[in-house]
Amino acid sequence: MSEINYKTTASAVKTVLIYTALILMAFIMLIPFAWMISASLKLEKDVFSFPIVWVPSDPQWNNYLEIWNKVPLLTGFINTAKLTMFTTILQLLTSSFAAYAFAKLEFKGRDTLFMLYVMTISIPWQVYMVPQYKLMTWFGLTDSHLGLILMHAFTAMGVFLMRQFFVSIPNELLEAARIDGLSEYGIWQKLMLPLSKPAIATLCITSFTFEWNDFMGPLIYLSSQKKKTIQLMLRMFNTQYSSNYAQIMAAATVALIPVLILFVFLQRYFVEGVASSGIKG
Amino acid sequence: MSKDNSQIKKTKPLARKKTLVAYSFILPNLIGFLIFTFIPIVFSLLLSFCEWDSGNPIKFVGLKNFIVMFTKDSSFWIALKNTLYYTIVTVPVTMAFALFLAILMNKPLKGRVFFRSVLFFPYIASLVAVAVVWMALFNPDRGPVNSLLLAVGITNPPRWAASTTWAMPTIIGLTVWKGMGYYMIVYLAALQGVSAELYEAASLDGANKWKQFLHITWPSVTPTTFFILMMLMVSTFKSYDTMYITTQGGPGEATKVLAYHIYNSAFVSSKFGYASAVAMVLFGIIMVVTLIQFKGEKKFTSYL
Amino acid sequence: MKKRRLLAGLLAAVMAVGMITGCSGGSSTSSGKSGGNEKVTIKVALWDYSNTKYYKTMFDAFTAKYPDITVEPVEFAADEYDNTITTQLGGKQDFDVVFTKGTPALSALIAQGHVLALDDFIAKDTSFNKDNYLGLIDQLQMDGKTYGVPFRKDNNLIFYNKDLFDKAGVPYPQDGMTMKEYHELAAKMTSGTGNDKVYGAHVHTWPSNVYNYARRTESFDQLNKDTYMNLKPYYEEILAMQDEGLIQDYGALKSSNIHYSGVFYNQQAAMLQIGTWFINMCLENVKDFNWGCCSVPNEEGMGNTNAVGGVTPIAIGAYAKHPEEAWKFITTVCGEEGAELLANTGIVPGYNSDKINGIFDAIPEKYPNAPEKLSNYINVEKYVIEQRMSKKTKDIDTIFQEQHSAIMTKSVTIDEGLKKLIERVSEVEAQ
Repeated sequence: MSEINYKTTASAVKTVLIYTALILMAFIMLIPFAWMISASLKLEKDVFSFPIVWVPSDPQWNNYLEIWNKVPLLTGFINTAKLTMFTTILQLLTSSFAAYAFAKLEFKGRDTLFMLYVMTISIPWQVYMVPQYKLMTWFGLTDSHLGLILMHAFTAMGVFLMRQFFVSIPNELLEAARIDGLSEYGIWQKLMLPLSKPAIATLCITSFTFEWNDFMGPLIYLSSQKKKTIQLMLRMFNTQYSSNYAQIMAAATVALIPVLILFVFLQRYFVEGVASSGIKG
Repeated sequence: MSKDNSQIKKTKPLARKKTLVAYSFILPNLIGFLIFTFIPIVFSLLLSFCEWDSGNPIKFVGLKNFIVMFTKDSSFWIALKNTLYYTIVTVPVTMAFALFLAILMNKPLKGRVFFRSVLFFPYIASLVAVAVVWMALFNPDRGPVNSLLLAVGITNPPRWAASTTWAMPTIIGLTVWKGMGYYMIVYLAALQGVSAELYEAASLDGANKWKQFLHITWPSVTPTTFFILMMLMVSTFKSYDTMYITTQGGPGEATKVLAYHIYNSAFVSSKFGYASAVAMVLFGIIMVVTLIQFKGEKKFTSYL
Repeated sequence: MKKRRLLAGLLAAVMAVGMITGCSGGSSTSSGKSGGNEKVTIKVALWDYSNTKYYKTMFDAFTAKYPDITVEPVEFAADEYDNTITTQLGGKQDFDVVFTKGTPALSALIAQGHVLALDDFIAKDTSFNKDNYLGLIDQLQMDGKTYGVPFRKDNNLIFYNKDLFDKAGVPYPQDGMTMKEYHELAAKMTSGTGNDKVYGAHVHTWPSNVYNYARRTESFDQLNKDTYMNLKPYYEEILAMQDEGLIQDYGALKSSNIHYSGVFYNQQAAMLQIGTWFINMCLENVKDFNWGCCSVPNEEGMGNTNAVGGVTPIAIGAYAKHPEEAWKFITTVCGEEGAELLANTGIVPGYNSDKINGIFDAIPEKYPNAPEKLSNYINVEKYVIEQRMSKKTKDIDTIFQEQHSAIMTKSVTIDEGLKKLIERVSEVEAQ
């Protein structure tokens, strides 16, 4: 009797401890965002007042209206959305296509080609950004969205991820499908894709977060005002209106909202996708 | 004879067809990959032996860039040191937090989805937005963090990004904070793959939590640990946008990392050949680290 | 059957991608052709276009004068302008007109061959007179060729808040102050604590906010390492002011990106050392106090005889499709018409004339809180250029920024910092 009691109290204490730790961590993760939103609703002079007033008594919603006039944030949103969408779709299609061949078909030069892909994964972009830039100017693809899309759509990482997942799908399934008269394209479409939803989710998420938050790529490649992405707009806002913290925070909040909304709706897929990427060593 | 011949004739077109089909799968990606990634990489290798300022013609200079780098550019050594500092601290700290959180979360808890989401969100939040908030919080004079430290009686709080000593820790803090949620989820998935029976058996044997961690949890997630280690290493070696947005490599050269040095040499000083040479060194370091890890992984996972 | 359909789909997709590529490639080149009297569009690369009113006025005035030439502004973020423009021109972008932020940036573009020499244009154009630019055209030369025409020139001044001085009963700062006097004045003007603190002076975060004091007397020259140690007394004075709390801390300013303008507008500092572009900013933003200006202090107590500052040169891109039209644009915006437009907004044009001086002297009529006789400070006997032209200027400038931040955050001592500066500059010179 007493032992059971002891056990239940012990586990209760443990649960409390776990919750305390988690709540503390969640707190640390959230405080910057809370401060950002709170500051975005304040008068400039109150932003740094201490102790922190978390809920301003007189919220300055105006901050959110004024930022749109100062920097064309909306253009930035549209451009980023466009870039993100096309890159993700193109990457998904071509990567899964190539990955199928690498994983399930036999042909001359397969392993050599795959090695080529794998080798480039760990090469940082800095290594080749200069020649890449030169090449893009040669194609007339600087200051163009298409240029960025093409550069980011054919990544080795994408092929690698999909290939690793495809390999784990049993060959017997494929053989059965072949006997049923399905072509390789049919197998890719009807068998592989539906079976590899987690991998597809991973790739989508990696591609989405990369493209949406990419700063250096657009910084170097995009020059026209009307082509710039939300990150560049945000950065421009931060440097041009550097003394106006309240509005900087408002702009930052606005830039985070689309990602937040998407995340709230798709968080299960986000998490599943990320989780599946790490199971294999 | 004739029989053999016919056999060959029969299989050859089939093999050719197979290859054709395979290439039709690969080509859409391969063409893009070759043009936009592979050719630039090869070109970069060549460029590291050249001098080029983007305007004047490219000039072959042999090993000059490397000699200058190792003997005449003190910035390179500082950047190398900073890169190692940044990586060596960021990687284990991120991993420790990620694993710790994953272990906490690997239980049927109420609000698990909420915690998971909250911990993960910084990872997908934009760096530009997050960095400006972080910098405001850690403003040495007016920031809430130092206001708080002063309020609790610390008279001389760190000057964070404004001091050569604290600038790198501030950036590391931002990196860890932003990234650990992602790796936590990777760990969490690995932990869920460990069978509960192992733990039950262990606790019947009287093993305490620490022993269970040491003998069950840690070995089970070793492959994942290597995976994360590699991902994190590569990403910290490559990273410079955080420094670019927050400190511009300063104060002094306190947060100038190799990748930033490459960016500076190329896009500020227009020494594209030299930048490529530094990039080659960075690539070399990453290659060596990756190889060591592969070797290590084989050794450590073999006894499982 | 299925295979064929899929293949067809794939083919269509490839073609679609090809078409997008083709389209975008086509559109970028179609605007290039131009004939004799056809309409011509010149591309002008610059920064801050969208938030600076006078650019638009000026471009409109130009188009009115030359109805056949349309101006297409290409705007880049101010902070990344130098780097972006180099990269863009490295990619052989066909900018006709290239605004540059100053001599280091222009020097770099010249070294890379990204801008055209203007000597032929100058020789052909009889209406162009070098003398209107206070000798600055010659200072924009490299290897004996001219590459830029100064659009604006901005020497450094001390701006001060007259109301704060009156309230404290302290006499206004004067021309010919020594650094010591400046320091003492700042001490007298510092008051309050916490949110109400008023600093005696404000020192912005650029290296030039310290070395310009020395540069003014020409005891310092960025291209001459032997003069670097002469910066020591100036750093000592400024750091002492920082330690005594007479100016805001460098690190705090830097890490939170604080702009000097807000500090002055909000009356948080009595004095501010900054360029003459601030006249325009004060006219637009300072409404509730009187302000004045005087020449910058220095160790020798030199009066208002010379000034130190930078220029904003405009150049012609090396890959310009319409260099002749670009030259017309440059001579217009850097000439009499452009200069008057600039002067009317309180910006000091590169072009100088009595009329321009008159415009500055008339400012108090419209803005009673602005100082009288501003022409004294923009039309000086000698104009010392902040950073001389050289192939290495840009690299040296980068090193100065790094070491300046190390010294100002007290990460190193002044001696260490200056020594490091000399070492690093020697490295660059040797390369």
